Amino acid sequence: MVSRVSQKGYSLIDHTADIGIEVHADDFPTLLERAAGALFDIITDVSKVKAEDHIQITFSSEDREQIMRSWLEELLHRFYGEEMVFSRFRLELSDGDNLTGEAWGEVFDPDRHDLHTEIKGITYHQFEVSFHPGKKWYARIIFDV
Amino acid sequence: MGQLRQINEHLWEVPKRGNMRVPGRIYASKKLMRTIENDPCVDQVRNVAHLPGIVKYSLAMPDIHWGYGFPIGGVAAMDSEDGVISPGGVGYDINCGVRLLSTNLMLEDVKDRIRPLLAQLFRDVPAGVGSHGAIPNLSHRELDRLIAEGASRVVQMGYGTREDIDYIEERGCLEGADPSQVSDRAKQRGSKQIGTLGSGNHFLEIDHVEEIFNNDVASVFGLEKNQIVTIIHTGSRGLGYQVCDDHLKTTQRAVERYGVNLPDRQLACAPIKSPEGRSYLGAMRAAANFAFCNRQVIKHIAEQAFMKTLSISPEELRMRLIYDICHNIAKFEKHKVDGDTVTVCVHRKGATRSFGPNNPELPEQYKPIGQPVLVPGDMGRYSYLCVGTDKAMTDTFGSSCHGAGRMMSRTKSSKISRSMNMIEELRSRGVEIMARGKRTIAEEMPHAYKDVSDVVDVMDGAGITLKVARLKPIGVIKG
Repeated sequence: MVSRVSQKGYSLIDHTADIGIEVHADDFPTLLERAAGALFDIITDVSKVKAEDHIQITFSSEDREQIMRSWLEELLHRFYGEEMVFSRFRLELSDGDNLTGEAWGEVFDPDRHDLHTEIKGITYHQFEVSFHPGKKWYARIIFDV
Repeated sequence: MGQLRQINEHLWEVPKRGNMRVPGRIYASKKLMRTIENDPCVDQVRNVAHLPGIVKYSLAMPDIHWGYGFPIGGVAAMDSEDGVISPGGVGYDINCGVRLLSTNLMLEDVKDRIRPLLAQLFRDVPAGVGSHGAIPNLSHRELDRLIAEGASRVVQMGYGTREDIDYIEERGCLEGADPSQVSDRAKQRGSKQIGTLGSGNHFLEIDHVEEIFNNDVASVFGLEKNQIVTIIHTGSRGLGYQVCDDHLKTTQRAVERYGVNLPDRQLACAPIKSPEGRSYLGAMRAAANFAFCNRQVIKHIAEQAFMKTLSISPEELRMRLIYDICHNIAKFEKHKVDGDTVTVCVHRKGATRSFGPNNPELPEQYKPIGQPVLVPGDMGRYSYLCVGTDKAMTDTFGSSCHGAGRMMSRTKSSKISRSMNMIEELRSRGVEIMARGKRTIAEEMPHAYKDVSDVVDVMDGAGITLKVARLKPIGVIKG
């Protein structure tokens, strides 16, 4: 469990009713990638998700918390709307503060994929995205399940 | 317990301090209070007491635990003129609720058929992602009609009977639902999910009546010992979650706009009469109606599954709705405050309406006895059927507890369950279970929850809801 957590760059937070994550990264795009990885890691076994389809999302907000929320909410929307699950993510800074996010995955297939825990929403509860000199980028996110 | 003052055996006061507008009140025994007092939920009771327009008390039921902003198990009534409405006071799963169905079957009739019966229910009741809703290809236009009209619309479509409607809180439709305030994204999530159970703590359960505490009331509900009943626990699914999410954003902006001073941003709210408040109310009511429809459709599917597996007719099964109640809702109700009858907006988040006898909202048959209050426990032990009282009307805005309440996180619960075969463990308790989510059984195991009898006994002792019967699960399906 420990090696898996460090490898994927996040750890689970013990919360009575729901599931939370803490994410660390050297830079903000990586923080977003790891948070998205955690989201789908909780939903399903991502090792079984093929990177067949690709989506792209762009963000223009300067508010880092808002970017994190929009990114995860968009991915969750694709999960519920198009039943897509994702296993690979890439975020890149483009001109100025603009960010482009990409995700690779496929349509959820109950015969091949296990639904571990259905995440229903990204809460505002203890939500934090911050930069600490030395400690680098940090995010705390509680999912409603 | 220094911060709390014990009023009597079942009730504690959170004294008013700082900017609290009213005191808090928590229903609990000494035993339950040992868990509650060290939980941040007591601070949440205090925080809710800061909201503009709150009347009398910020209340908490004995199944209270930490929620977002408002505690789960919280009840707050707001002045309908000067008060606020808060999406966090309703929760993400708008009108998450339960319905209790009686049947003509006895334990003897089904005890050897539980596994095939569960298998049929498991096949027929869709869970959610990866399965399709019970009503395929539901157009947005039809969805709009359904969330505006509530359960009667799905009855018109062939799911259940008109008789069912009388036994649903608010007759299965919150007036004033406004589909135009529900975002396209919410509708997209909802259009595939009518008649789906969902995951987490949601379930469909077959129980038998294990013990009756009040024969007179039980007979009005048509229940006797060893009778088979069914419980459906689910809510408004993705549509409700999206409505909550969308309106948390607008109410957060409203907090700044109207200069509301809040101790926690998750208490985001808007004046009831403001455009933001009215918008949320219209959308929340639409989501609530979705949930009524959802449970109504699942009832129909369950009925069909019973008849098919047991090869019996509708008359032989006679699956009858005892009652359907909301757990997460805000509604305008008339209550007595300082001797006057006033209209207040009652937020119930993880709490159940528990109206006493003779309330005009109740079906004729139940007026002499009060409203049925079903309190589900964990899947290994038991659930309780109770009945509302006059004392609930005077003391808790006609509200009671809604369940056992979690006491262990999902991650901790999963870790402990790893060393156990939970399916065999439950079987040894006489409970068969089928679940889609691999982790669900581990996360939802009985020891993750408080003993619901501790919770129900507090409300019974306080005279808010009285015990009628205890129900024992024999088969459970989960998403």
